[in-house]
Amino acid sequence: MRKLSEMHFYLDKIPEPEELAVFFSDALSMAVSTLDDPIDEAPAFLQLTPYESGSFPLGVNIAWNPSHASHMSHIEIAVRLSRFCNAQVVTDLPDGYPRKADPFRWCIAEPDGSLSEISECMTDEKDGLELDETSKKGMAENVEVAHGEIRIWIEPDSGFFIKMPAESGDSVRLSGQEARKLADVLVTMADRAEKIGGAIEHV
Amino acid sequence: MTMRKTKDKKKWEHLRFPSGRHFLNSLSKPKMSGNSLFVIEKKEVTADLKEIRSMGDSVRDGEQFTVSSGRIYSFHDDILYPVSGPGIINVTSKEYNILLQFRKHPENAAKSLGIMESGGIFDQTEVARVRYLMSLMKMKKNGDESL
Repeated sequence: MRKLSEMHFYLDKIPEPEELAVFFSDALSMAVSTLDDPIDEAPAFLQLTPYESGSFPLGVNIAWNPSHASHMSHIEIAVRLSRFCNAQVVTDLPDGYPRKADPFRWCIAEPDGSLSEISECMTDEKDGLELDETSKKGMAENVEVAHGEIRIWIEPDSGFFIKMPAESGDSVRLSGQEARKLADVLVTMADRAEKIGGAIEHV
Repeated sequence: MTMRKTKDKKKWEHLRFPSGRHFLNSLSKPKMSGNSLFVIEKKEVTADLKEIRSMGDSVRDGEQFTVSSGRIYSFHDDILYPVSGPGIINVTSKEYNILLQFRKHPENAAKSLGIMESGGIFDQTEVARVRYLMSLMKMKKNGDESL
């Protein structure tokens, strides 16, 4: 697999460029330069492209010197960026996803933490990005429980993941009703993983 | 045999010409993967499309068509997109983004490319490829309508 040294995103709102530079600098743990604010020796460069048409008025490209490594995938960054900007963030599908190189298929992260596969609207192609909401298929689900939120997602290259983002490190206690809710979501996600192919074999 | 060819033709004749995003004069949406660009004349792409529509399954392998020019295409719904082959160049999203900027604000593109080159973000192969594609875009802007 090629070494990751760039990521590309589309946002449905336009945050301040400085905020985005701070976000990426923090997320990638490297200094970030922009055209308006070049920083000597910064390993990463942020380019912003405004769009006048479509539902995503900002294109964001972050690229860095390949001698530096990102500890996060573009999917993890998309989820964080979506929460940071309270915006919908569109990016490529995860590595290993079938037909990832299809230029019309995307992954969308939303502020509530959900992650979906989605296709572009093909009827009236614009310069900017327009998505077909009817093609949306969930790739990650959050299950609300009494002590927080359980996140379940599929990464075809790696497997099927469950995470309870509790900082305490304590075990998660579920009520019977919550356990049933979690089981229902797990079955749904397993069905999706089977359709995608690959992920289920890693479980 | 004739019946089969007619059936194939009907099966694939709905396929449409590739999106403008694959042509240097109408770049639009970069992606981390799948940024395939044509550096050939549009009439050659039209000939490929005609061949795919008429030959159908006989030039298809799974989700891809390989035509006599050696170019490989895939499709999303009813629209074709280039994958690889003679006259098709695959670029990264940072390269595509610089080319897109070059289309809209050439001075910013040159400045960005300079910063990224000096910071080691672009290697020599990528710089050479971007400069080559920029020269083709300039030719197009100067009146060469073939690309």
